Amino acid sequence: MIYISFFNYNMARGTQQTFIGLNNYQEMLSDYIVHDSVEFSVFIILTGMILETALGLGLALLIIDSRGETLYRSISILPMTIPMVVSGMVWKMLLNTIYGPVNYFLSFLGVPQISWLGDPIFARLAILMVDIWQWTPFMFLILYAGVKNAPGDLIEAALVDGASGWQISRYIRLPLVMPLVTIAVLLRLVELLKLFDIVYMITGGGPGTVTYSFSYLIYVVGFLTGINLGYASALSVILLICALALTALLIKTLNVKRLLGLEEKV
Amino acid sequence: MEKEKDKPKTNSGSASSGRRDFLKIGGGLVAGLIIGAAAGWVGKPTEITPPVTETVTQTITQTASATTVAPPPTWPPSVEPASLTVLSSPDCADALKYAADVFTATYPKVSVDVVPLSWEALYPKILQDLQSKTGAYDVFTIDVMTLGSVVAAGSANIDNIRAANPDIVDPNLDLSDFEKGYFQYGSIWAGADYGLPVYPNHMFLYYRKDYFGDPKVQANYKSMTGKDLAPPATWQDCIDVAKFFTKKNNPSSPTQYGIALMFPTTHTMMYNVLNWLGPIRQSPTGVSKYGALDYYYGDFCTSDGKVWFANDDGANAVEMIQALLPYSPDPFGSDYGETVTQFGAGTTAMAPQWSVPYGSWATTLAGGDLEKAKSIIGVSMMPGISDSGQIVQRPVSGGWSMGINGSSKSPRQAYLFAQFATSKTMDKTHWLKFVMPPARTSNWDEESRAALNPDLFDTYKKSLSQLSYRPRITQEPDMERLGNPLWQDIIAGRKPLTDGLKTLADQWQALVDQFKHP
Amino acid sequence: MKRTLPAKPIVRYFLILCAMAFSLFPVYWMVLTAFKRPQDWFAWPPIFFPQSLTLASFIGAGYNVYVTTSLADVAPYLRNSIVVGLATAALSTFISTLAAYSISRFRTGGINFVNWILSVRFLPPIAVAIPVFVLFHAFGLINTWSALIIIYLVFATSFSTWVLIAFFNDIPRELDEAALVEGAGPFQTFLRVILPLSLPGVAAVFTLSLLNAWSEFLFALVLTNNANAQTLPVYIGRYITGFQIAWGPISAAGIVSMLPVTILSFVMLRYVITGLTLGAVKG
Repeated sequence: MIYISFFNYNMARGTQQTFIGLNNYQEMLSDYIVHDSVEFSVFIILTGMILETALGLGLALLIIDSRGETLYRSISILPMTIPMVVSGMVWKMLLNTIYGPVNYFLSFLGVPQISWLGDPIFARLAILMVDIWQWTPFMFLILYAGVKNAPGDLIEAALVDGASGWQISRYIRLPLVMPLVTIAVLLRLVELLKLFDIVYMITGGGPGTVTYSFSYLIYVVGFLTGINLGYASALSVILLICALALTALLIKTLNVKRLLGLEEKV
Repeated sequence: MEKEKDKPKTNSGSASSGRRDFLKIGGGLVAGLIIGAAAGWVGKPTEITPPVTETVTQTITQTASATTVAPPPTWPPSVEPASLTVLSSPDCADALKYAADVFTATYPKVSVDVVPLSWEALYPKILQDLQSKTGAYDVFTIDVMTLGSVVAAGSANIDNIRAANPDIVDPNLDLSDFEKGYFQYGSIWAGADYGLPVYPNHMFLYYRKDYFGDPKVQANYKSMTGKDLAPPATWQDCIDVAKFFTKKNNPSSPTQYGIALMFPTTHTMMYNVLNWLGPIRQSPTGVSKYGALDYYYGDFCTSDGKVWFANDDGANAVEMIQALLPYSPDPFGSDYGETVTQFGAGTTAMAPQWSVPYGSWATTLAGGDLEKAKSIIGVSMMPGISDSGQIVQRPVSGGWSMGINGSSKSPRQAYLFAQFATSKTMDKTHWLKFVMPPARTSNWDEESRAALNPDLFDTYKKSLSQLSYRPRITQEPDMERLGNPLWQDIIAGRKPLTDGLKTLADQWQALVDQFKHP
Repeated sequence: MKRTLPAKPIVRYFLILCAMAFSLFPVYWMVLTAFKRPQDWFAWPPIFFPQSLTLASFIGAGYNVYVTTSLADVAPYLRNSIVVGLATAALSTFISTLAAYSISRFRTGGINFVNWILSVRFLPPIAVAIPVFVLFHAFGLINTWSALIIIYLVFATSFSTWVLIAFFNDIPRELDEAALVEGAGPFQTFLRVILPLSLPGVAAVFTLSLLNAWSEFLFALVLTNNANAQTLPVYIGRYITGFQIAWGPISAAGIVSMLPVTILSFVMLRYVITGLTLGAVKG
């Protein structure tokens, strides 16, 4: 793949591969679609990660020890188990500007009709919303397990000391779960970088190019039209480098080595 | 220590619930399987007979035998057993499946499997298969403007197949029977035949005949604009009509919006803009400026391959579109499906669309009553412009041909099927049963006209000589990739008009320049 | 027990209710649409409690079209999805448990190896789709189950191994040593001691691998051609035609796609929770 990125290999034109050196990479710098895509990717990764973690954590803390806990946790997991193609299709129905239930509910709050797929700002929000719906369960699952694992005696001690529910959550459960948050964030980051199915099913990268996730861009360039493998490969190389860099950074700062027990045990 | 104490408990507890869980999983799988299998079994296509065709099928065989040559004793030919895979767009899938069933009745040793794929999945799949010479598909549907790229990738030259296998050529093939324009545009490349037209298709303006014919509505319109209400012939007129039918401007309007427009950043954009650009390009003034139309370069280019719209004419077209936007429910968020729903639910009074939604509209607007549908759904020519005293209307053309994979392992059988699916009888059946307009001029008869909606048929015939075309060049996919988002940015005003057109024109010009005109 | 909870019960249950509604509504809508008549799919105002239901989306009806408005032909695709999904999950679990054991107990390859395993997962599938196609074509694997299983294994194994390493690390070394004293070799230690204790974790990675293989779209599209090997996600695409998007049948197909894995996940959930609870928390 790295090899091809230096060539001008275009399947639809049936041309021979010609070596064009770093041309593909140069083209990338001046391609405004790439800029839009990077902008969107950064947006979705940051906001998605923060919101999903916060919501997953919040949900886990809310549900724990409530009555009907098992039911709630089953329902919370549900979105994650649905194939993304299916969920994309369902949300497309829900977000329909004229007939969709989402706009219907919003109209009760006095919000005017929103063109989810036609308005640049709302299209991005739409993708964010669907991603949150689909993947918060994932964060929830991991964090819930962590929260549940808080040692009982610590909590007992706190109760004896007169701590309120909120204080227990904040000072005992939360710190204990932080390492788990790290792992979850790491896993999710990797997936977010590869965001594709949702964009494909719902917005098709539109309106304009505002919801072109990087993977979707690679798909359009390398697969959908023109099959410009050279350029697509160049883009993929960049994506890989970013992914590796980001993860190495995270691993280092968050001391994952220790988490995995790969250092020397004390 | 705590952990060790806990573990044995969970393990034994899960042993009995394990069995329950197993049953649950099994149950779920079985449920899914049963639903799927039942649906598949019950839904297995048997003869579907909509109200119209019972008597008609008999007439078909009669007329067919009356006007066709008596087949020689060696017909149908004997071919070796084979198993064909047909890759089809969803538009053609049902019709082809029907054709496959009938085909297998005549050639029992050849099995045909029709695989529908959505447009986005279909095109790259075809290219990938052709390029890699895998031969996984024997026959596939070619979207007309992709002809250049599939030929370059390895679509088979059908002339050669016919020359090498004279025994499988149907004596009633009659290539001249195919409508000339479509045949030329959708199947001929550099003088050779690469496809057989199966579904010629272009866009019309549909409108609510019942509202347009309502005397109260007509009176209202006259008093508001001083003109008579009629399906608009030009985009200028269309603006007035659309405005009238939009409730925000006119509380007495029977519909909420005037016109269902679609300008999403999918391949819809690429063809839709031609409904506005085409008339300008092919008007007498346009032709004098830009030359005659070239079938390879299409309507986005001059006769010698220069992209022409980065000027006042282009800006004019965009402005006409922009003037219509307020009278449309959701132009930038709507694609095919959405606009079909909008018209079909009665939300808009007009809708520029292809020929196929007619069936679904007959269901939603007329409850499936075909007679009633004729009086509700009106069909007229796509509006155009007025130039030098003439009205120039140029709906964009599209449609499909049957192509054969150059690496197919059963080219004889593949050709036989493609030929069968586009034969005179099958062509007519496709129109009557599946609303696919006839590709053969011999099928433009009274019976076809009366079958669904005379408006539709007449407008179809009339527009055949008045179409606009997309570029067929091998770089067409790249033009789409760059053009689709950019057009929307321009129309939505996110990019300034002149700059935007210039940028797009430059990008496209770079691509067009790479094309070697045969 | 209630005192361990944040916020008053009213507030708490209200928030939980909102969250549940948000999770459930899209699914409810999908199931609803599958049973609605075509003219109701996009009625206004939206119909939440339909008066009339129909099975048309499942078994087919309607004007002139059948392949694209019913669930005809879904059976082979369902079969393919099941085969590929189960095979991927089983194989990846098998491979990754062994690998994770090896890494956890014997430090095979060190931190670099682990990093490399994780980095495999970063690979955007798009990037390698066409080269993989060409490669598989050379081996005659196109349109077979094996093609999909192999490529899914790559991603699934990497993820599973990584997760299982954390699990295995949690199991105290003392148990290993105890087994060693009783004369068990490494493999027996694995079978008798480690594996039973980490069953929840194994269940978790099995489920996640199955989920991923089940809903994967791009490779299924590229590497398979027809009902011999295509999976459900590709099948769903056929309902997007030029004249309408058949929402009813798409929803029906969605239900069929969703049921098996969702039920499986619910069942496995208990194992997963216990597993994660006893598992990866450190510090």
